[in-house]
Amino acid sequence: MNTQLKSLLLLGIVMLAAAVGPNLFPAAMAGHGSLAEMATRFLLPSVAVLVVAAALGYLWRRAIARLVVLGGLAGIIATLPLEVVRLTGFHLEYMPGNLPRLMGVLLLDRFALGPSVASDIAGWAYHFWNGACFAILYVVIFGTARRWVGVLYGFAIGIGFMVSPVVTSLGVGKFGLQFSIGFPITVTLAHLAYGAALGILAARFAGRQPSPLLQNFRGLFTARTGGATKAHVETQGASQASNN
Amino acid sequence: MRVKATFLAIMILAAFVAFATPASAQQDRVVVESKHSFEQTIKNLKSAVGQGGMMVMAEVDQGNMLKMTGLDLKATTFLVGNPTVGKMLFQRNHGVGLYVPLRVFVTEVNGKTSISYEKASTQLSKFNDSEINKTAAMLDEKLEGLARMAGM
Repeated sequence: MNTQLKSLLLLGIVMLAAAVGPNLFPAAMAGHGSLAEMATRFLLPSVAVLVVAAALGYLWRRAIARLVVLGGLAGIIATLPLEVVRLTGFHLEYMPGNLPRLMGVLLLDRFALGPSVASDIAGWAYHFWNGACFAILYVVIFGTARRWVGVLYGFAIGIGFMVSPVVTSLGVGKFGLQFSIGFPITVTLAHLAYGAALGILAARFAGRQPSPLLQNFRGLFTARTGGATKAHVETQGASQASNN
Repeated sequence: MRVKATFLAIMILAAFVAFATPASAQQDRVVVESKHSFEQTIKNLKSAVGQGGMMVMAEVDQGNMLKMTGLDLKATTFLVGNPTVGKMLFQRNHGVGLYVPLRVFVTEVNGKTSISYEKASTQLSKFNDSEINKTAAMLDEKLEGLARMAGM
């Protein structure tokens, strides 16, 4: 198997595993199962897959593994400014509830009992894990070269959240407008803060790097079409970078 | 004669109350026949709850619980509600806690699955609060929609 294919396989596994966490909450709120059950069946295995993929990546594709780990770390830290905005909005009564606490009671299947210390820990851990997952997807798809892309990415996540089954099940109408104009403002600002922080931190930690996904697709395509000498040299450079 | 007429009036009134109460209680309790199996109806209900701006807050699997007594049946109660609506109701009167979250019951009898619930407007009218009544009417509509979607 050639270098680009191996890299793409690793990137594909990383992306699939990273996509699991953020999708479970909307799936649960859409009625496709309990979040507690999904966490056991899908979330924990996806965490394990990501850890194993990163570990194996350090052996075979160090640049990719490094990018994934540093990207995830940037995502966790970038969730902090999101929280500052979100909690401010919550205390100003622009938000109908405290989402990490809701996620926590659902994860531990104790909605009717309300939050506990354990469920709060679980909810916040899941919330920050989602921050890491979105960041991993960001660095894999977009790279870290253009920090402003993080802002757009954060904005897109915010919009996606507001049209997701999560907001529908809260009964606050599309974009939360039936609850308060403060809802879409808070959510948008919070995710813009996340995206901006992610763009800056990912570039700071991993250096300005192009998209590994795009890079390897290009390299694969060029190699397969037997491209020109220049393209061949670029492919060699990309495969060397992947091996480092 | 006058005593007889009074007695007759009392008897008629008593008969009316005796027969009217079960009838009105029947109206307050809504039963919807489902076209689907028990398991599919539950799946549909959970999906409908989310789409309807509510959440399943708890599930009481009476069928599974009663297996411990040797009784074999399919019956589950769902506590459904919306925290934002619940907050408003509790702010008006804490007593609503006896009725909120709302109960939706799914059971299978002789191979037929049904969804039943008691109207929120009936349960919450006891508080004589216009805001609670308005919300209860909205909840009635939501429950009707849920039950219809789950059973269709």
